[in-house]
Amino acid sequence: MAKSREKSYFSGKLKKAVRLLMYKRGRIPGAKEWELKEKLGADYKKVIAQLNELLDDLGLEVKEIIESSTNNLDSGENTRFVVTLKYESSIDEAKMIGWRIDNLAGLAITISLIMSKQGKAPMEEVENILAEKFGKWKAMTLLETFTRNAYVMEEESGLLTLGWRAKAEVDLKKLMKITAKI
Amino acid sequence: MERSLKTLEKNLASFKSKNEQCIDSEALNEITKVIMLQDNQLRFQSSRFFIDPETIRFKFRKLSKEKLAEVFVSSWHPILGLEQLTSQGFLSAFDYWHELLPISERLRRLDIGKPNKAQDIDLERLNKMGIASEEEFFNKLERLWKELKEIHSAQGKIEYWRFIFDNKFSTTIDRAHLLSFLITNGYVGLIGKGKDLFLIPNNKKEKQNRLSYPISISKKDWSQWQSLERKATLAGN
Repeated sequence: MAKSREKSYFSGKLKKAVRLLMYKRGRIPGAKEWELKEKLGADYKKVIAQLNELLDDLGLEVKEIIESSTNNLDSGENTRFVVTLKYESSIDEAKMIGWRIDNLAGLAITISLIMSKQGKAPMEEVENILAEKFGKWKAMTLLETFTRNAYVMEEESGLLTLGWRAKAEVDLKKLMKITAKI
Repeated sequence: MERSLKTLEKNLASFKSKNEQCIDSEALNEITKVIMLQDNQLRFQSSRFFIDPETIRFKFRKLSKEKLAEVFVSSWHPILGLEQLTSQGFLSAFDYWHELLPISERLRRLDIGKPNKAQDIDLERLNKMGIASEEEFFNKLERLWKELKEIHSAQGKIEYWRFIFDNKFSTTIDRAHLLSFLITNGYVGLIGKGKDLFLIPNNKKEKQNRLSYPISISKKDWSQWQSLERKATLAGN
């Protein structure tokens, strides 16, 4: 009985949480921690936990992203909550949501190379490696796409670092582990 | 590090003056910092399943694009983000619609003649028909960049309009389109002096141009350049 009361207490907040987390209101999807606190109340983490139970059936989950000092998610607060796919997907699923094989392969190379260079790799070097596979101009457009979509960031010094999106969406440890095995 | 520490230890007894002991402490302090950095590095490497960049290159070189994509999606959890219409967006759209001239009026102003009926065709089909291909597009870019560099080394500054102009209107548009790609990606610089625009090719990719600078080309403009070109040719003859 107590549990059902708790569920009905959260149902209104759950709807609010879904809207806050799933609908894009700005450039970056998801919601900042302070927004959730403000709209859902101090027990927002309980609401998120309950939402996670519901999303699990759909293969989705709410993920908390902590920004690092060198890569701001946004100015201001440093924690953001986003909804991501919970389980690994397949190439067919990636194609279904509009990704091309070239882009996925290029992103694998770019991220792994940046990781292997301790988080910073010269843009020219990454471009040259991509060019070996895709040709010079295609490599250039791929990097442009990755930068525009915040998977990588270009520093003033011409170094590429991982963008907030790569940190939020990619299981970096797993990527490097698979790369080591192949 | 071990050898440095042993050297310090060995010589410690011989450091008599306060100054010598201070230098000794300073050296010890610096060694500690190096050890700390090494420790950080090791922690970083172990936390990231560190792989040497050369190994990564070697591995990726032999993998197909499909396999690489597979590697990526197995560790990828894309973010969900839905688009929706907001009241603010609706108002902007309404303003846009209100100010938008009818297509017939816009076409009349552009003076491009009667348009053909629009049809959908995807890139794959265009590739099959031999009309378009990514490869061809990138080759065209390469050729245009090379042409620009050759003209620049022979004549110096290049006027934008003179460079894109061709006796065929469609080719002029094609050259302008390709050039916009080179400018956006930092292979060519665009400089405005008064009403004139000049092109400066870069030998390698420079910092990308984030500014948007729309240049409109109408058939009327093109006809004017054509007559100017003719006059220039006649004067030259």
